[in-house]
Amino acid sequence: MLHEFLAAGAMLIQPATVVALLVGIVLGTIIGVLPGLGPSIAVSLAVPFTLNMGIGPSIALLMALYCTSIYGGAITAILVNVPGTPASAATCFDGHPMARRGEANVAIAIATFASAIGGWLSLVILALIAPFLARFALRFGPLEMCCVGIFALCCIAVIERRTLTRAVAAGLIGITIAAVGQDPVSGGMRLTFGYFPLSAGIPLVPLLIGLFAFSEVMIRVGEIAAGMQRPAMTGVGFRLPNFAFWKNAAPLVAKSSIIGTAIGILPGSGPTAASFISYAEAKRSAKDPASFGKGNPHGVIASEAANNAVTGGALVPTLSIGIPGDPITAIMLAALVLQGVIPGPKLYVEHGDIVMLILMSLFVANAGIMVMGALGAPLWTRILKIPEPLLMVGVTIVATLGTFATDNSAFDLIIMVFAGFLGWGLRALRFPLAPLIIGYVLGPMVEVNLKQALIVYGGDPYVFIERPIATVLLLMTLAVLFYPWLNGLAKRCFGKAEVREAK
Amino acid sequence: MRIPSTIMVIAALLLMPGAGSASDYPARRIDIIVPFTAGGNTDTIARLLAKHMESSLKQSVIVVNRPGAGTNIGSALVAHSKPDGYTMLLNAPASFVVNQFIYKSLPYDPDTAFEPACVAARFPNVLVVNPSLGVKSIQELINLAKARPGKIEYAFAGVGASSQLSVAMFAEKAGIDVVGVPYKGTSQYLPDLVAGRVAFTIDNLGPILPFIKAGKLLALGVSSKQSVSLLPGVPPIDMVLKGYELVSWNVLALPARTSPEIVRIIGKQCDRIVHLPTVMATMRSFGAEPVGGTPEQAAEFLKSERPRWEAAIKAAKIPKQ
Repeated sequence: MLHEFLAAGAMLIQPATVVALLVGIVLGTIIGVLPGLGPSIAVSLAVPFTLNMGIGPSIALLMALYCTSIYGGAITAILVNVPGTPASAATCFDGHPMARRGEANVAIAIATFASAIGGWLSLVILALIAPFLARFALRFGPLEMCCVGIFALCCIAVIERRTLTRAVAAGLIGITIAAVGQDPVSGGMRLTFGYFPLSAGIPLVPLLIGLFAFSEVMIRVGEIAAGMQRPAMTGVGFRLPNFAFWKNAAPLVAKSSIIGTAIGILPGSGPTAASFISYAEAKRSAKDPASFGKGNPHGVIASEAANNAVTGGALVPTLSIGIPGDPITAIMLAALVLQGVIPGPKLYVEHGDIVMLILMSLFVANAGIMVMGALGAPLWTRILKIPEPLLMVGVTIVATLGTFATDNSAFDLIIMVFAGFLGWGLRALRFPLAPLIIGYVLGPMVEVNLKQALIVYGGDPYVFIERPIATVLLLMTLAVLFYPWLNGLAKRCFGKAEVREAK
Repeated sequence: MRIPSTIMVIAALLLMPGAGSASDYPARRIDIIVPFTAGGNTDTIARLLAKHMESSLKQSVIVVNRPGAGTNIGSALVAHSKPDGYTMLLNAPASFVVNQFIYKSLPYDPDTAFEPACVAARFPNVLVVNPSLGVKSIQELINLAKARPGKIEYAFAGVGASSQLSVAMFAEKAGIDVVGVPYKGTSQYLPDLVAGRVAFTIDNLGPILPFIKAGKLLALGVSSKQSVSLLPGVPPIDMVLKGYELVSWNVLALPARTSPEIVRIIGKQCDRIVHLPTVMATMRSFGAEPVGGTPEQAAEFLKSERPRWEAAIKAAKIPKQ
């Protein structure tokens, strides 16, 4: 153990590794900030470069890019209401209203801290109990993952209780959008109308950029054209809330980090799902759920701590059983194989120093998030000084380039524009966007896993109540769905005071 | 006789090699389209090729991932791009000898859309079972499946994937009835295979190898006619089921009508790179076998592979989409 620690430490302080870490931290944050570009493109762009580097710098670069690019998205979400990466879409809901209130500096500081602490906590879990957790994750088969998906989908009902009908409708739109393209099970085409480019489905990045960024631009341009002036935003810099705030928020940070780590560990889900589910849970358990979406700092914490906690979680199965926890770690897995390191059950025994180096790089990268936040925020928040029309032109250009850069596909731009109009229409009609994204991300997960589970268990529907993990998940789903009704019942039976305590 | 200089300049301009001619090739960036997400076998081979082509061709060579629709998106992109040598495709059998038998209509004709330059690598598939199944040999697996028809499940990585076709051919030759569970890719089914929720598969060795080494999965046979150096003692399936052979591969191809000179340049590069000792070592570490060869050999190879895959697709009874 000590020997491996020292060996990894020696690799980490090599000049090349230090440079790779610094480059990764700075570049990753910038990639995260730019809408359209996110962790997957950061990591896949870096892979060819790692071919020419040693193992130490390669790992340092990849880990730094992974963490900081997920973090960087929060800055754009807060300042311009455009998620810099899909993972930071949930940060928009409260981060941007905070900025509108003149608290951009506070929102960024909170996002920075929550991200770094989420990353560190997941790292602790990864370092201490990865092999054990990986074995547990193996017990999550199609049946269990289907139930996880159903549970998470029902969180829509929780986030948007006031506009439940619209929220469910938006969720269904999301599921429908995700169904476009080749049926993953039978291979048949769905909703493509014989139009070939649609057979690959609607990709997430152009959809999100359209829904959030492009529709935002349209709304603001409309306002500017109508002569409506939004009050100039203030809040340049980086201002940390006081200790009392953090003491109060500590349980939420811990809970969001655990949610993020857990979702990271489960195969087939990533930071986007994690941040939305964590956000939903924070809103459900809050004393004042109505303040969410209006600039509640806890909304920013829930989303940012969870999406960065995915990093450590997703690496749990990647390193200890060789199965990637999300699409980004899948690319990293390939990069490691090219370096001659085969992740899997034997990695901890044969390459203990490499595991240690990965942990150390993650530790430093999360510290880098703090530094980038503190040093970068005064720079980023200058965006607030840019006149609005100019800013909107800038957002359009960057969002378009970012969308195109992901897959070099002109068709993605068409999707972005369509999604922009869809987002604009939905927002004008007061449909919430969060359920749409949740439906898009989780719908296919439920579908594929349901079909697999039914084949594996010979079409027997009773397995849902025979397998313990599945049963527990379904009971949790019922609890979430009937919570408001039960709560109302309790109110009538026991009076109001006790119910408030029970919350 | 004096020729006016204007005419000389015009003549010179007309004689100048146009874009796509071989003499100045490559004059700009080359894109290798990989119709899979980053991180898989084909992507890894493409990145190895790109890295070494870059240094010898003195131009940047970029790997572009364009996944989707059973590799048809990326393949169509290359088929419809200018045949100037700056866009090429590295793909598995899918867009060359598989998809024409699965899809009713394709936006390109797999038989005529491409000019193959080189067979980059082959990927022998391996038949693995979960040890809890209790079978120790190919024959025992067949016997078990015969005793429990329609009860033994196998995992496959998507419609038309080599795992689906390999098992279909295996089942047909062995006369057994097994149930397929579809997944989106190899990494998606591995947890279920390792946990024993599905019993077996026949798929590319690379992602499976660590699990065989750790004893979580048991290798019973390989899909090539010869045994594989990474798996000493594991017999070819051909030993039990005579004539069984289905090996996946990667072919580097350019759009049809690309000048033969350029195809030759690219083919030569690919052939040279896959035989570099470091590249060979890296490829073998994830279960790929370097092949190489000339464009003519690649074309011959595709011709010989076509009926083999067509038969496998017939065995899999995939309805035309």
